Amino acid sequence: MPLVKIQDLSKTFHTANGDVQALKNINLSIEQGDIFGIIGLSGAGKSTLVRCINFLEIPTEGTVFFEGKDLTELTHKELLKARQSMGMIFQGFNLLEQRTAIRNICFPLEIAGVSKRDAEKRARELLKIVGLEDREKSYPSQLSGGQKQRVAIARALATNPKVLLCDEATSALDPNTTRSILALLKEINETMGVTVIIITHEMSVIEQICNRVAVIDKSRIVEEGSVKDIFANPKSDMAKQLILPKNAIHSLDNFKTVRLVFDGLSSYEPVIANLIMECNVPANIMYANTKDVNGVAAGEMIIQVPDTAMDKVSAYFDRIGIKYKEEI
Amino acid sequence: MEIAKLADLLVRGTGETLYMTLVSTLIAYIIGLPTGIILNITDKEGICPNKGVNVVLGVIVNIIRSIPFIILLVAIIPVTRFIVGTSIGSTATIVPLTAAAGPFVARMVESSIKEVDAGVIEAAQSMGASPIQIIFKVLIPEAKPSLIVGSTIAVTTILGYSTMAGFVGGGGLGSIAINYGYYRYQTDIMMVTVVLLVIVVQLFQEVGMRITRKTDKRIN
Ligand SMILES: Nc1ncnc2c1ncn2[C@@H]1O[C@H](COP(=O)(O)OP(=O)(O)O)[C@@H](O)[C@H]1O
Ligand SMILES: [Mg+2]
Repeated sequence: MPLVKIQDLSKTFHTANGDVQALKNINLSIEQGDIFGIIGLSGAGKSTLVRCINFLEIPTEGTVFFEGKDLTELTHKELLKARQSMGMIFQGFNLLEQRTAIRNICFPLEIAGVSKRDAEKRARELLKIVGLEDREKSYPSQLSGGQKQRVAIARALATNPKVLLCDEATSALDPNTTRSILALLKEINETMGVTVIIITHEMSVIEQICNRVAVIDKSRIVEEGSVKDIFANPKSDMAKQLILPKNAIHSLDNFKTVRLVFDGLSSYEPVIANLIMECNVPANIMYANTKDVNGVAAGEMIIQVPDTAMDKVSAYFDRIGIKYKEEI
Repeated sequence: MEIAKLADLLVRGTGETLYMTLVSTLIAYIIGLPTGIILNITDKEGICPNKGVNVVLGVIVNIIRSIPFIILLVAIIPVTRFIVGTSIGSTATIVPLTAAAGPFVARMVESSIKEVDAGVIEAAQSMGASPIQIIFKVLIPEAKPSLIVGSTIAVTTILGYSTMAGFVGGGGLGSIAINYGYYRYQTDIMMVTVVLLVIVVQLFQEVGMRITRKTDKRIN
């Protein structure tokens, strides 16, 4: 049973300027233990989708199952209770400005009716997990962006949720802080078994920690699968736009552009040198990059080869088992 | 007039003014705080949207707010007599002061609460907080510094109103200023009462700002 199952979900906002359909017929299953990424451009409907998962936004059509329970069938009280099993963090951190770090973390526990003593004990454990045990008395205004997000993560985890919803949680942070926050999320996923759903517009976030990804474009999911597969072979235009290097390719007449994807192993073989020697083709390297996708070094390269040599080139790549794709 | 008698008059006047102002402010908050919160949460952007309640309450507040205080003062004399038994003196003045200040306070509270970041409210909702929990654990505590600034403004405004009540025998420094300064041309006594009023306003302002600075954790 998936932990979160989004079924035939649509959401339309009725505004003064007419209807805005923010989500169209979304179907997604998120399994226990996943770090599931949802990527798309601004305005694609990501925030609306993540807000539908905990019913902060009520879907116009369709529903969400959480731990097998249909959220549309819960009473208001039951829904409030269910939300205690779903933590959420935000781009803007959304900490209570008038409360110290520790009292921010106690907040969801107060809501859940936990005694003050137990709440503080739990809050101190969490401060330790997020590496801020020495800042418990600090107010949000005294913390950096990364530290605020750590407090927000601790707060979201206080009630031992099954899933952590992250809406652009690193978009306001610099690259180094982003990496450390993502590493923390991964650690939490591994050690506490919390399923993580990450909303982002940055492919680098998905590459760093997600195992699965869904691409959302203009209110629809256009592609879904393992991060490895989609990175190696993006099918939808949006996935290509997000994954493929920009401005690297201007195709020449009589040349074919080919994108190669290396997994961890083959990146150490002299693939291009062998291609040139074995097939006797003048391959032109347009772009090359190595990325850390989900802990594995994954390389991509874009080369151009003469039209006439394409058959030989394909045969060579098939033989040595390199993933490749002809681009237009 | 002898100095001793004058001093006695002014001390009593100041006392009455403080009494009217503070008691009216207190009652105005007892009415205005919940009203302001209800206005905020029933707004279409609020946590419990309810157009009916919002519109009715909003209209009542606006009607009372648009009546000039001096008119309200006279118009509700029957109500004042019914509640206090007389329409003269500082206790009687508390009735019109409260009537005028309640809606004013409601709007101040509404706008203070509106300053609370929507994201913080959303975070509380995502944790399963009920509307009541959000009001008491998020809206009021997060708006506290702004509410205190608002109450400083409210108290000085109410003080101003209380002096106007001097025209109809409202007591306090306002009555002294009008009786001696206006009717008897004793400008010096009037000047002294004005100075006293300025000092009282300064005092309220200073205390309010100090408390705000102490409570607000956003500025350090
Ligand atoms: N409360 C709302 N009322 C009206 N339109 C909304 C509301 N929330 C979102 N939208 C619209 O829905 C679309 C998707 O928004 P959003 O989910 O915030 O996108 P993203 O998070 O991907 O940037 C946008 O066109 C946005 O204007
Ligand atoms: Mg968004």
